[in-house]
Amino acid sequence: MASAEEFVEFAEVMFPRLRRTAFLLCGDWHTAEDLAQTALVKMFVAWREIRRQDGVHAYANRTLVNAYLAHRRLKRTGELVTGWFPDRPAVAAAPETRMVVLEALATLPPRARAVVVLRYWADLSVEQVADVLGCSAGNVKSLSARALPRLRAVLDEALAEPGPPSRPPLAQHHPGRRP
Amino acid sequence: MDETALRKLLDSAVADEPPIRPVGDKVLRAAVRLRRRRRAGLAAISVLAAATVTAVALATAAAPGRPAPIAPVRPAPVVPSQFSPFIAYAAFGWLPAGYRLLEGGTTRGATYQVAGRPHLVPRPWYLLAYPAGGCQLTKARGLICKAYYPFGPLALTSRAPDINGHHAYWATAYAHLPTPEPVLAWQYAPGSWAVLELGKTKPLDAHWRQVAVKAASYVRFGVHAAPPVAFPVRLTGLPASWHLISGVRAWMPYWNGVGYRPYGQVLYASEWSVSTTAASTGPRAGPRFLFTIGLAAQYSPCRGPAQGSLVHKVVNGYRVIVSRGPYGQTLCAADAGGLSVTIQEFGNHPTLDVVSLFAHHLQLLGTSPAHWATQPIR
Repeated sequence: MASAEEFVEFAEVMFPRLRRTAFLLCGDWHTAEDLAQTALVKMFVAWREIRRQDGVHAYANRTLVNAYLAHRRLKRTGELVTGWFPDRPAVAAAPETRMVVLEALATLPPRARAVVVLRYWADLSVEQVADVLGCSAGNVKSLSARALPRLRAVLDEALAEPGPPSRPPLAQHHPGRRP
Repeated sequence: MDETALRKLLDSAVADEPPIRPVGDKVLRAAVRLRRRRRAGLAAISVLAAATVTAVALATAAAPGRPAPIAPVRPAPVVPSQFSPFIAYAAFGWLPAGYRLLEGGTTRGATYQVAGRPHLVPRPWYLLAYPAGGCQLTKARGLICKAYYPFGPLALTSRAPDINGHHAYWATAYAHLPTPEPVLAWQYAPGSWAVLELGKTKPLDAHWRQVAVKAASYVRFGVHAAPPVAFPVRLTGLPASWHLISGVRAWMPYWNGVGYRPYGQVLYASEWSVSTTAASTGPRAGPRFLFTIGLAAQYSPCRGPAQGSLVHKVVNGYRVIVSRGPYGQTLCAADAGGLSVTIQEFGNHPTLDVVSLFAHHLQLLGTSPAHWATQPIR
């Protein structure tokens, strides 16, 4: 089916960006992959309508954020049952910075976190973020105004120290994150 | 910590991204499963709705019928087997109060117009028209128009009043999906079909059927249905292989035709793509560039999603923002001589990028339609 081929092409192109956005929202690559796939599946079901619209990226963002918020509403435990133990620490290029950023983001409520990621990473305007979140532009500004000082405080403190970063208190441990 | 620093930090957080596996097939399989589940849930509702529609239809047929108004027979236009993307072959001639033309577009396989209220509430109307032979009737009372209904044929449900002397049918679009839409389909010339979607997801009642028939009877067809589409910018000094992409299908991320928007009494080309190689689609296709042009006073395009770093530059005296979008590099100028210009690259061209295109090959023709061009490449 031609439209399926088109959608596959779209999905392959869009997936990396959606996954990165989802990662900043949830802080875990595995969950991010699930969220991005969920968003694409929902888009495919409505593809006949959205394929003719200008705002396909906005639609993708909205679907992704809705999937993320729905995911957060699920009352899951903070522990992940696994039979695998890390027997040596993972090596990352700049793990401190990455962890600090993710943990600082994790201190924010889900919608505030979405505002920060969409505004300052996906580079959407206030109006576009409001459209994605289904709220007013004033609400976005308000969420942003509350989130940024908190984020700044955590990041400035953590990144100013030369040694291991001080760990901000996590609002919630994400179930997918390994120790 | 300012906003720039925050953006850099967020970028650094995704720097160690794990490798990406192909997801297309996986997503498709999951979508099919989801659709099956939804369809099963909707089956009972569909049965009830079908029974209701049948009852209403029977009641209407049994009622002492008033003869349907006899529409005047208009001469059918001569319809080509493929459209030119520079011409709007079909145009609304009547719209309800508050509705106006929002946009349109033409590919070789279809032409369309969208009309509605500026905020898209209620849902806008779509008028679609196909060239001669663009649609085929099936034995199972279906109408296949692949260029714009790739999800399956329209299911013709009953005869509608003739539109200007031509056969017309009530039909259901997207019949196998959870939200089918009632539409009016009619032959505006022998072998040439048009479809009108009124943005409804429930069966049309008598009022909306009258509205649909009225709107359809006022639709104009042919090369003079609407003003020709003019280009506020023009590309110059490019290799001969560069050409406008004008395929049969219309699809993103690049537009396979010419999209237009109204400006007073004229239509200007607002979205079109050029291919840098002879093949514009398929595996042999080379890099493509999508141009989105607007009037700076009406549209502010420089806010699309971008990731990675944004670079602010001044090119030819105009402030532009260069970013890396999901498909490649993007240049956006919010106001370049009264025009807003966005150039998106799909694929990496070996010698030209969006900045060099804007700087050396894009001729801005201003906001006066008198100076606009009929072709995008000279």
